[in-house]
Amino acid sequence: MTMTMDDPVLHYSLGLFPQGDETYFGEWQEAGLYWLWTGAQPAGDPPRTVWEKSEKGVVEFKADGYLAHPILAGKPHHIDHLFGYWHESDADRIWLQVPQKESVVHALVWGGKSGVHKQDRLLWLCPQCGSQIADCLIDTGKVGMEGFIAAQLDAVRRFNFDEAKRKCRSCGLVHPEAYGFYPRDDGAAEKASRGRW
Amino acid sequence: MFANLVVKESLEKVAGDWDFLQEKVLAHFSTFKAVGQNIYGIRRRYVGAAGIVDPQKGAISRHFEIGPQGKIEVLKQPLEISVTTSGTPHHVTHNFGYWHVNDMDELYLRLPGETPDALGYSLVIMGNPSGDECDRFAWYCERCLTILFERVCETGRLGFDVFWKSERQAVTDYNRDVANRTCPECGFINPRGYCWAVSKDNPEEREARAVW
Repeated sequence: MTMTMDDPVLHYSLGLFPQGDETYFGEWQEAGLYWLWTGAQPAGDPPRTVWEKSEKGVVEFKADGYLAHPILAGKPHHIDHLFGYWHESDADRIWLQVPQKESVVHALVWGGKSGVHKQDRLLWLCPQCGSQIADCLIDTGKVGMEGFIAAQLDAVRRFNFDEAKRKCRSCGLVHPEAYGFYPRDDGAAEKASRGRW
Repeated sequence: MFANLVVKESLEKVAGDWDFLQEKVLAHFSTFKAVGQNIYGIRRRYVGAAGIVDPQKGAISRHFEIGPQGKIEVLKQPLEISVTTSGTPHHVTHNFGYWHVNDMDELYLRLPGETPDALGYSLVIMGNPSGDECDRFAWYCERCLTILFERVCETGRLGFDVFWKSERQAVTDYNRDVANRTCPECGFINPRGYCWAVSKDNPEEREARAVW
């Protein structure tokens, strides 16, 4: 099909496995109202855990097989080794897990409803007592997806810069360093931290 | 790292339907169900390289869309996320007998079963419409793509629950008079429409499902 610049986009396609020279794997992509990310881990690794903060405490979600887990807007959540903060979005997310022979593929589907992707909030919670240590608001509606990616890394770096800012005012525990979404951006301390939580 | 903070109660108690692919949860999504900001349809189907097979409808692999270049077939592969953008008329052969025009984007994902003979999963996810956002049931001439007939369903204003009743009414209205199916431009008499659910087919609609 030949398309001109004026033609509307009818559809987007994103294989869960990269083929040929496709470079989207591990990168956020905009597909209409949805923002999509796919990635993989070796099949033998422990399953990734989604942590969600609820009124009663922290809830831990993980499974060995296929999984489609909704993460509703406004729910602070953290996915271990994927992003080093708790994320509260105004848009719903769906966490997908697709086991294959040699790897386990994951996808995050983010959005879908019109009028969202306006604001995101990153939080750091004390792993010992649950108190909030720091937070950062991102006006995603103004900066867009690429701006969000830059802003979350900036927030991570500011959190990591001063150990005093990572110390829990309630129990005194020093929160480990944070890390951003893309491993390629990790400094040495961020890389080590990604391996831990 | 957060083990100290973890709620001790069972996941089902604190989080309810937390995995939509669990067998007991899946049944809630056999048509469409709104959860939060999205609407989900999740079905067990045979998914393979040759396509997707519904136990009742047969092969439902052929997905068509209409754009400025005319009618195109979009190959939707297993293990691929695809999104049909809002406003794009789309039709799946033998699956639903109209062109669906959704004001919301529709996301599809097909996951093969764990063994070649096992049922896999077919997921359709779309934003929950609000305000003036609608669904439309349309028919275009198979031969020249002239629009023949359309019904608008105000899902944003009335809620998505009106979709199925509205679909049934649109198909009935279209099929009622052969003039609706006769192209005013080229004179071609198009096949009847039919609903998504096989159980709603009357004999003529069952015949139409086999045709397109």
